[in-house]
Amino acid sequence: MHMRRPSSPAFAGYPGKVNPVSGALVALALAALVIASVLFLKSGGFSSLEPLPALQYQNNPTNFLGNRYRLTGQIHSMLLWQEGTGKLVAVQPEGLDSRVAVFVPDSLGVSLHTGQRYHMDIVVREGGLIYVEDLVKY
Amino acid sequence: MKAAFLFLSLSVSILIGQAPPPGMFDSPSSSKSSPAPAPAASQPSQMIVSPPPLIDAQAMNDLGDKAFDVESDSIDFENGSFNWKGRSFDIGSSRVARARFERYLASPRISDDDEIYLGILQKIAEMLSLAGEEDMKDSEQLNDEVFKAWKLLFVAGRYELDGGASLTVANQVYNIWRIRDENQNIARGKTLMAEERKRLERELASNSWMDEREFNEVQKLKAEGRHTGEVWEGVTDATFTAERLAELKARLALMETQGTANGLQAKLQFQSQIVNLLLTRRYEHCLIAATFYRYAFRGSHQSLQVGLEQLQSFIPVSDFTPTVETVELLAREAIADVRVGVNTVNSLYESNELFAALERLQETYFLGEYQPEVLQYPPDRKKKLLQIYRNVTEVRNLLDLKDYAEVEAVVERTKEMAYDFPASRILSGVRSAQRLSNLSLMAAQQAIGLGDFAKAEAALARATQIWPLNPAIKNYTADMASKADISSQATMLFDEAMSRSDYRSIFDRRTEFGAALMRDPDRSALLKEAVERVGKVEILISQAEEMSSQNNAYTAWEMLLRAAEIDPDDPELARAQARLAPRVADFVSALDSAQRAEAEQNFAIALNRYLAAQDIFPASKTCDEGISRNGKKLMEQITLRQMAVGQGS
Repeated sequence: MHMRRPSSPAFAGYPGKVNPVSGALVALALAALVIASVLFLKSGGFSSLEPLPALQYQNNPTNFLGNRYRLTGQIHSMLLWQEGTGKLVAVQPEGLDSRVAVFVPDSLGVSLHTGQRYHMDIVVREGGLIYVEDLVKY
Repeated sequence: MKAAFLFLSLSVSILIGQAPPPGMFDSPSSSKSSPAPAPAASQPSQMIVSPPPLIDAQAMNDLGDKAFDVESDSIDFENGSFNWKGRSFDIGSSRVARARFERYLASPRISDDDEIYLGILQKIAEMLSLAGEEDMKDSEQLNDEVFKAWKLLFVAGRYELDGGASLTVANQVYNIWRIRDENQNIARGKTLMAEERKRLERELASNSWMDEREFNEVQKLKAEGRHTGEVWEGVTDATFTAERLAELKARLALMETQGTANGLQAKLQFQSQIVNLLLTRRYEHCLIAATFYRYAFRGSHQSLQVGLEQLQSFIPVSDFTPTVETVELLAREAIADVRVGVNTVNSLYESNELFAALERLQETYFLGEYQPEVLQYPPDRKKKLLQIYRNVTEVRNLLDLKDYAEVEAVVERTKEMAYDFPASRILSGVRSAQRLSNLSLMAAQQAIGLGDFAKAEAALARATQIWPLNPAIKNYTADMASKADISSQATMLFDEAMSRSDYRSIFDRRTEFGAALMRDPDRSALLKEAVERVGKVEILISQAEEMSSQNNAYTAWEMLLRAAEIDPDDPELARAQARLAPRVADFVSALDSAQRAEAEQNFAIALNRYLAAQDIFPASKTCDEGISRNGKKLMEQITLRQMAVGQGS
C-alpha cells in the first residue's frame, strides 16, 4: 500500500494583465513585485542554478557527482545531527512524493525545522550525497 | 509309618561281646554232611541309594520345601537320603537313585523267573519257620527242613533278582557248620589228650612212689654202713613222662583257644551279614539269615557284637543292646510298612491323586525295592506315574535352568495329568521370580534414562540372573541395540545438517534428534539452539501470513525480513517471501537496492534508497534502521573529511 504524501503547494502565479479601473491596486501589486524581486536577488540568486532532477538523482546519484543545482523543497525530517559537522535531513523536493537526503553543514548557521520550505544551493559530492552550500527559506 | 523303628532304635546301640565256648554250636544239621562251599557271594553293597528328590533345584529350595512335604517319611532333599520313621537310609547318589526309580517305573511286569524266585524265598521262609502246616515242627523235621532251606538258598542265588544275597547267607551258614565240625574234631582230640594226660599223670605218680621207696632203702643201707648214700641223678623215665605231660597240657590249652577263636569269628561274620542285609533292605534275606543264626547259636549269643557303627548311624539311640531278634523285628516292620505303602499307593491311585501316589510309591520303593509287593506293582499304573515323574523331573531341570516360561507350560501339563500336583505353589514361586526379574529390568531402564549406566548394568545383570530367559530382556537388549543404531545414525545426520546450517531439517526431525542425542550434551545444546532459531522463524512466518491475510503486505514483508535476519537460508522463509514478493515488489526492490548500496559502502546512495523505501512503507522498521545506520556512516565520513580539510588548510 502506497502512502503518498500530499503534494506541496505550487508557487502562486502572477495575474496576466492590468485592470485600468483599479490602477491603485495595480500600483500596489507592482510595488510588491518589486519588493519580492529585491528580496529574491538578495537571497543569492538560486534561480540561476538548474533545478535538481530529483528522480534521476534518486535512480543513480553517482551520475551527478560534482554538479551544482538548485533544490526547492520542504524539510521532511531530521535524520542525524553531528555537532560541529552538520545535519542530515530528509527533504521532499518540490513536485515529488519521495525524499532525498541532504547534508546541511553547521557552518551555514541555520535552524531547520520540519515543514520548512527552502531554496537550496546544492552540490552532489563524493558518494552522491547532496551538500547544501546555501539555502533560503521561503 | 512313624512308630516301628522307635523301639529298635532303643535296642541297637551298645554291643556286648561274648565269646562262645568251644563246641557250643548246636545246629540241627549237625548230623548232616557238610555241603561243598558255595561260591562266595558278592557282598551286597551298603544301602547307599541317594534319594531322588522330585524337585531339588537349589535355586528353588524354598519352593521345593513348599511343594513337597519334607517332614514326611520321604526323601531328604538336602542330603539325598531316604528317611523312614525318623531314621535315615543312605541310598546313594541322587542321580543313580533317580535313574533306578525311573527304571523301576518303566519296567514291565516281572518275569516268570522272578515270580519263581519270589516263590523260592517264600518257601525258604516257610521251611525255617517253627510252625508246620498243621502243628509245630518236631526237632527232627525242623533239622531236616533247615538243611533243605539251606540248599534252596543256592537255587535262589541263581536268579538275577537275588543279586547274590542268598548265596551270601548260604555261605555264612556253611561257614558256621564248618567251624562247628572243626570244633567237634577239636573236642574229640581234647578228649583223647585228656585221657593221655591222666595216664601220664598216673605214670608219673607211680614213678614218684618208686623213687621214694628206693631213696628210703638207700638211706637205711647207708645207716647200716652198707651203702655210700649216693643216688642216680641222670635221666629217668619220670623225666620223660613229665616232659610229655607238660607238652600235652600246652596242646590242650592251644586247642581250647583255637575252638574259641573259630566260634567267635563265625559268629561275628554272621552278625555282620545280618546287619548288612537289613541295611541293604534285603529284608527277606535278613529274616532268613537271622533264623539260621538263631538255629546255629544259643540264646546267650544273640546280642550283636558287630555292625555297631552301621546301626548307630541308622538308629542313633544309645543304652540299648541290639540283638539279632531286634534286627529281625526291624526287617519284619519294614516289610509290613512296604505292604502298607503299596496299599496306600493303590488307594491314592484309585482316587486319582496321582502325584501323591507317585510320592508314596517312591518312598515305598526306596524302603523295599526288593519286596514282592513293590516288584509286582502293576506296570500300567507305573507307566502312568512315570509320565508324571518325568514331567516333575522336567520341571526340576527347568527350574535349575530358570526357564520359567517352560516351567509354566510343563506344570500346566502335569496339573492336567494329576490334579493334586502342587502347581499353584510352583507357579507362585515362578511368578515371583518373573516379577522380580521384570522389576530389575525396569530399574535398568530407569537408570538408562537417568544416564546411570553402572546402575543399569547391575540391574540388568540381576534381572538376567533371576530369569535368564526373560523375553523382556531380549526385547530390551534388541531395543537398546536399535536405539544405539538410531542414535549413531541420527548423530551423523545431525552433524551433517549442522555443517550445512540446515536448521530447517533439524527442526523437522527435532523429536527424533532429541531422543537420539539425549545423552550428548554438546549436540543437545546445538539442537536446542537450532530448534529455537527455526521456531522464531516459524513464528514470524506465521505472523507474516496473518498480516498478509489482513492485507498488510508490507508489514508481512517486514516480518519476513526479521525472520531472514535469524535464518536467511530457511527454505520455508524463502517460500513465504516468494509468495508475498509480488505484492510488495516496489518496496522489495527499494530495500534490495539500498542493501546492495550499503553492502558496497555507498552509504549516501543506500541512505537515499532506504528513504525511498520508507516512502513506500513509512512504518518500515528495516528502513528506519537502514537510515539510521547509513546516516551514521555518512556523518562519520563527512566528519573525517572535514577534519582532513581542516588539517589541510
